[in-house]
Amino acid sequence: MQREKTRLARRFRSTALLGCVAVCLAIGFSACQTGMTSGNGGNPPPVTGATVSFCDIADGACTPATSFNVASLRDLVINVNWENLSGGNHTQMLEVLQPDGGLYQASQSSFLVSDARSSLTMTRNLPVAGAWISQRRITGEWSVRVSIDGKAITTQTVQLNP
Amino acid sequence: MEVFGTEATRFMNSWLLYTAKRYAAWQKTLCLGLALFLAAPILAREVIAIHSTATQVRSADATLNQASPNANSGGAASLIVESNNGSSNQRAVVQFDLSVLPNVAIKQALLIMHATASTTNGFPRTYGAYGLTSFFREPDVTWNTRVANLGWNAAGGDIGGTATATATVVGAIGTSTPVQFDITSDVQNWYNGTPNYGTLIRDQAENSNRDPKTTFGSRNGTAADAPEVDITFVQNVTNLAAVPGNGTVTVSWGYPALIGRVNFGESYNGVLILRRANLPVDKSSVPTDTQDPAMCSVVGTGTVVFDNTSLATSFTDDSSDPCGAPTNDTTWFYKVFLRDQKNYYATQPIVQGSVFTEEISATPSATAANLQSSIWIAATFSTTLAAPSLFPGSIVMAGSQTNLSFGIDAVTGLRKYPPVSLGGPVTGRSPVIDAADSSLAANVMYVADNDGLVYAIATDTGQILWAVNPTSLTTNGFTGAPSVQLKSFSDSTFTLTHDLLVAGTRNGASTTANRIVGIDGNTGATLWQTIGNAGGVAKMDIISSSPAIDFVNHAVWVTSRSAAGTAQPSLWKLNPNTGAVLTTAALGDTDTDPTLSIPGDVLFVANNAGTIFAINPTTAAPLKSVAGGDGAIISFPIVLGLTSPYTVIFSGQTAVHAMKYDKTANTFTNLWSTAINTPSAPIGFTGGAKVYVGSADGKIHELDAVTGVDGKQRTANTGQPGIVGDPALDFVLSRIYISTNDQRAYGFAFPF
Repeated sequence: MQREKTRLARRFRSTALLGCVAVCLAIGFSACQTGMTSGNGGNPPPVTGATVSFCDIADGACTPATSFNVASLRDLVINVNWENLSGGNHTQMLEVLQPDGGLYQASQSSFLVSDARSSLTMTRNLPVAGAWISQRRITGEWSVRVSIDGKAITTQTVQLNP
Repeated sequence: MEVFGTEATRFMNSWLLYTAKRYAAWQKTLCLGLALFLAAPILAREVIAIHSTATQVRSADATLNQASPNANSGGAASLIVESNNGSSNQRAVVQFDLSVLPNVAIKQALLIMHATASTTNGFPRTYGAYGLTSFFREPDVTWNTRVANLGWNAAGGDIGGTATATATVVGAIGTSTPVQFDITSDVQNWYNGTPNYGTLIRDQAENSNRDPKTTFGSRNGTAADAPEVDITFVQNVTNLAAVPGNGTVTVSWGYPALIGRVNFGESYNGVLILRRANLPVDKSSVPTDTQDPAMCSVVGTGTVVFDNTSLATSFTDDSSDPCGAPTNDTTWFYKVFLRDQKNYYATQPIVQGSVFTEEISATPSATAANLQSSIWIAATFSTTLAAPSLFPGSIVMAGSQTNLSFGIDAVTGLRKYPPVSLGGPVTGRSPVIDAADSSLAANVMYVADNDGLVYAIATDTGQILWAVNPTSLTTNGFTGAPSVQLKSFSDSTFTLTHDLLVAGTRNGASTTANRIVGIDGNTGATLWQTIGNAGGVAKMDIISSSPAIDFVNHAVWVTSRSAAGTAQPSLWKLNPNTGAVLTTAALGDTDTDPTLSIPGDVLFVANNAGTIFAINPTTAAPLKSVAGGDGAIISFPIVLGLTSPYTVIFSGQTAVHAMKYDKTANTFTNLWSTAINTPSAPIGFTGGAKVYVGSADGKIHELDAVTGVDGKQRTANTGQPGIVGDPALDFVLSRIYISTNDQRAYGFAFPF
């Protein structure tokens, strides 16, 4: 009796398992199909991305660079160029990390993107001349970590030399 | 018998059946109850309902009305959320005074708005609660404006794209109806280093043709309908201390007095302690709620060295420690998590890598002179290297670059109140004024931030008394702190009604048009502005320093850069009543604060080339200068002595130096130089035997004021680069306070 129950249970489990596999495959296939046909005219939705660049505030042309001399740098201009942002409100979190990885400064900025907007640049100036970076010579490879609406997007390094 | 037996059997059967049914029903009820009990979130220990009131100094609420975009409704008795397609949407902003919860970990936070009327016309409306991301002030806030003359980045309030929580409202509402939003993650962030700018409530589908509108109670209306936040939390331990011995460290603590209602079966019952050598336990190293890690197991960068559930109040870490005794002459950091019976800890999810759990450190040694321990350690959430401000014996104020200002109990290191959220990073040493001296008649701190706002903050409560944007431009940020000319200390030549704040701007984009502003200490009104390259004023480069108030010579002294040359002034002497430039000097780029001798007969200025100037404070003319020979001077020189000759002590790039300046002979004489790894500014006092200085080796060094001998040190954090900021001395408690680049502030006893 017990053995029969066990056998029935096994058969039921096998059937259920097969059923699940079939359902999962169907869902998966359906999902694949959905994925292939969704979006605008079959194109996948654009992925929100950001590029971070740096320049010296004293450089009127703001020529991007990845290495600076602390002795001559007044403000480090941090430009975050956003692309493919969806319309609506967004919040950017910008974290400036020291060479040891510790948080030096963090700032939030919210902004409104119109539906048609495809790119947008947010700028933050980090004081260097006369600030702790130059006074206490906190030099080395710094990082800027950028997130949007709580989702990490990119991290860019910048070299601050003595 | 048969009948009887049959009847009896039938009776028994029916009784048994009845009993079984009852048992089954009881069992079902029990199971259901158990299931509900298990399914319900088991929340940690204490719960409190905080209702906003008109008298709370740190709460705020208002309606932002798109149809009247410049109208402020901060004092209104109700809040309105409306969706209207005629550019007439309305949104509500609320901010709670969380002062009763200064040192807690948030487990749950429910925002409850009480709807008193609704015209949703039977259609359910979904409302969203969003964390605001910009600083606002209730007296200023409108659809367009957030504070002073500053607008929102996006009209209608700066928020992210996704609501923290949503709730549905169905009209028509006749009586007060609670509408609840789970804003746990936002409140946890506020306790993890993100500024608390409050919450915005809006209709999730604005611009509706049907014009659905809901009215909520405000803090200025009926008390029962005021915004409410119900918070479940776990507190921190109190009075955490560490005493080192020979191969031992004794850690002791207390249990906090209850603040809220206690959850059933969730009493605080002990602590879990993590230990780490040389560095604080990493901020993300925390035990998981409801779990009890094994002794000696590793939690992130910490090791479990004490796992107590019997309300222990101390732990001696020694050779009996199964995880290994603390070795001598190593600094050991202990992170102490208060826990409850269900293993909920004083922790919360990590955002921005920040936590606040109580920490302490100690260095055991076989040599008594080498024993040392911190008095307290407090989180500041970002690098800050300015000297903390303080009311000696009472409160230590530390700014941060996450737009926060911390009021720390000087005795315990616990927060006096939740950090004050500001509009920008704070990098200067903000002046604090005692109520007896202040024209505000309040214990007050004046703060200037990197984004151009200036604040008066009541240090007893954390209330922002006023906030202004004195130059009307956010590009005119402040990296140095303001200085204060006290009316009560000034003679009759000072003609202003109240205390005067003076601060210099740091607009990095300009080498010519920076400015010095004079602000009324009571109202925040801009009294005067001295603008570079305008109105006959010479070109003015960036100002990174704090001014010196000269009560003797009736002047304000300000240092600036000078466009990398000497063609522009870098020392400015102003009339405090008008801001008029009295005289200037071109000393070359100068980022350090000017320092007056105690009698006010010599002004000392150190420029970025490392030259020390003795200045005649009457004429601003240099009396004498001397090359320090060690690169740019750090922060400011200190001047000891009641009369000439004065001892001038300053830090260069590699050492701390002392010189004697004899005013009569007009000579500088070298006294001593002591090598210190990238030193901070020194601190000492006239008549004191020691001088203290922070270093990039993670330590505070105690130097002999006469010889410069680096006699003793105290270890804050030897992690790399382990930079210790400018120290501050508390003569009431005999303590020295510093901040570091490891996002912490420390208190130590002095002399070492």
